[in-house]
Amino acid sequence: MDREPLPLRQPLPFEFTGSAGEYFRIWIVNVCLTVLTLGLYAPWAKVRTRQYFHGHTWLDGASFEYTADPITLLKGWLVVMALVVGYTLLVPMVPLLDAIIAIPLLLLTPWLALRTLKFNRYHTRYRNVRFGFEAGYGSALMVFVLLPLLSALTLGLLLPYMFYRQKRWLVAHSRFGQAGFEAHFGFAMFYKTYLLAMLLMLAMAGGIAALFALQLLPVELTGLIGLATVPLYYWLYAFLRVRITNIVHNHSSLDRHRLQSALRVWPYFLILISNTLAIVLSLGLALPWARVRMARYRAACTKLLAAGELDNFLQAQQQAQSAIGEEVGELLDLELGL
Amino acid sequence: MQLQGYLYAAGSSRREPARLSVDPQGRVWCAQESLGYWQQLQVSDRIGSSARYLQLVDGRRFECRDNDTIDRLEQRFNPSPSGRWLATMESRLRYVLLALLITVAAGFGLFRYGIPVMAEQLARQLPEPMVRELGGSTLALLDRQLFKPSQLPAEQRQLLQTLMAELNGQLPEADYRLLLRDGGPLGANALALPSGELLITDQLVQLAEHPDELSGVLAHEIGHLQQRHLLRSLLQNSAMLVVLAAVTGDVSAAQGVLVGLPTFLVEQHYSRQFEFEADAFAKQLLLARGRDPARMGQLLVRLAEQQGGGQPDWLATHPSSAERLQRLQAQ
Ligand SMILES: [Zn+2]
Repeated sequence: MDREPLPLRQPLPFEFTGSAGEYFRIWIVNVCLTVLTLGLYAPWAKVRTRQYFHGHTWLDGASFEYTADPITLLKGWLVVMALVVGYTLLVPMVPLLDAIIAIPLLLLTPWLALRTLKFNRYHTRYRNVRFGFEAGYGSALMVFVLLPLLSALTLGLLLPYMFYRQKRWLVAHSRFGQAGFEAHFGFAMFYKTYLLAMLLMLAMAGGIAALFALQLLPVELTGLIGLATVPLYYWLYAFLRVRITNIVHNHSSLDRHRLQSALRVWPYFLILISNTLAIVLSLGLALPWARVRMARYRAACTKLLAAGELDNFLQAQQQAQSAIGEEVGELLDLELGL
Repeated sequence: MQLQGYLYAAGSSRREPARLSVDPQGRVWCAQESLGYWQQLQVSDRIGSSARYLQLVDGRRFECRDNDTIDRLEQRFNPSPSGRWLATMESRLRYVLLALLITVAAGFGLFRYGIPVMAEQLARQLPEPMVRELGGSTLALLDRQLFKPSQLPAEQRQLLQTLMAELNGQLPEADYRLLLRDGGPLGANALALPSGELLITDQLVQLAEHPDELSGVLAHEIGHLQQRHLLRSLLQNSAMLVVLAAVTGDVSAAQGVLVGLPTFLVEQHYSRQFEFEADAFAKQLLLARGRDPARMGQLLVRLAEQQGGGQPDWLATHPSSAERLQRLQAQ
């Protein structure tokens, strides 16, 4: 039906050029100053970290940019801190305070998430054009509160559907300048992935149980079952993360450009678990190395299938209005990547 | 001085490779076109070797990786730069080492002294009824899962209750209750619930050769309760998690698990600390009644011998019996 000729797509690789040594210096100064200022430096640390990772992510000869002002973040954090402290002080004095504020808090969460998303997208730039996020409160309420409630009521049957709706919401409301992202994935893909994950998990758990039942493994090792579940948990996390990221990226488009993600479960799992070991054994000092490693792998597996030059994106006009979120800054620090 | 990079049209992703040159007066040129003075540009902060962005007055933007030249231009033409000292710190090895030193020292101090002291202060301030609730339904759960009714002869039970009453009498307002159980898979063991119940298993009682040994065990468990060890370890562990999450930044869902391991290691350390504290408390209590604290140490050694190596639960979280015996015998 589609009469439009398929544009020839040119794969443009993402590349991460940061190095562990360089990031370690930034990180340790961040941690040290955060400790010495009792946390007040944290917004600066956050902005510098983000800018380091954005600035070292390259696509077609241009890097990403993070432009948030730490002062703005600080204000937002202070507001949250004041609320938390006020709440903690009030709880013993006001009976039933928990119950009274539970509903408003529940209604506030989507708003905070939305603000944070808008803020962070607005301050992410690529080739002089800002990203953006345009969604209403109602849709945020739907994906962050109503669907989770509904999926809890259905004993998790709706869980994959909820994740699907959340991802679709994130993609379909994202903008790059005046252009909007489009999501083409369906919920069947999510159900397939989660079902597969569940079956694999059951098979692995069953396998371990069978080894003990058949006495192939000595009973003394029973105590180690808990330990064995850690890699299992990591593997499951890697599996879901990789599969879902691939689904989302491979079925999203911006204008006529498409994303391509070829993450693989095993390499991702091995990086994840070796990172974890390194971080634990180094008492946290290997964290910069671990982060850089992961960023490099993720970038290396991602491409933009560009339909022509990336010259035609225009800065959105209405984005000055998005900046109203500025005063609020980053209130709810959710990791809501695409 | 010259900068090679991309120049973006205002409000657009359209770009051209461009070479900016800055003359000695600080005027910026692109080919023959003047772009104004360097001070009028908004220059992004230097962060490692990541790219820099120069915002021009007319809305155009220049992207460039030549950090060193930009720094030199900034130094020369911009008298009040923001964030330059941060980049300096990050680039000089001695500042980085200093930061590392401070961070490690602060981390050590926090986990070794800061958190335990804060947890203790907080634990002491929490009201008694709240602490008691912590135990909650633990006893019912233990009875269902592990324990069986005690099989001890009546005179032994009588003796134990007498010992318990004696210790209760030593302490103001103490109403600890002693419960006897067959340890089942738990074997020889004793534990204290925050609700004020002490549990001692038949197997441990049978291992004892002198009343002072049992009195010592009870006093030790009372020590755990009086010093609110359970609550303190709960507080310490959650504080650890918060601190680790704050310092390491956005810990991803998967890395949340790894935080458990250092927590576990530190917890072992804390629990050793608590055992010594409880022993010290027991020692005072026993000496006040004219009982011999060293006897409890002998029971511990016997228990360790009986269980041999590889017994996980009771001994694993406790310091070596020999070390404890030594401390209990010391004057
Ligand atoms: Zn103990």
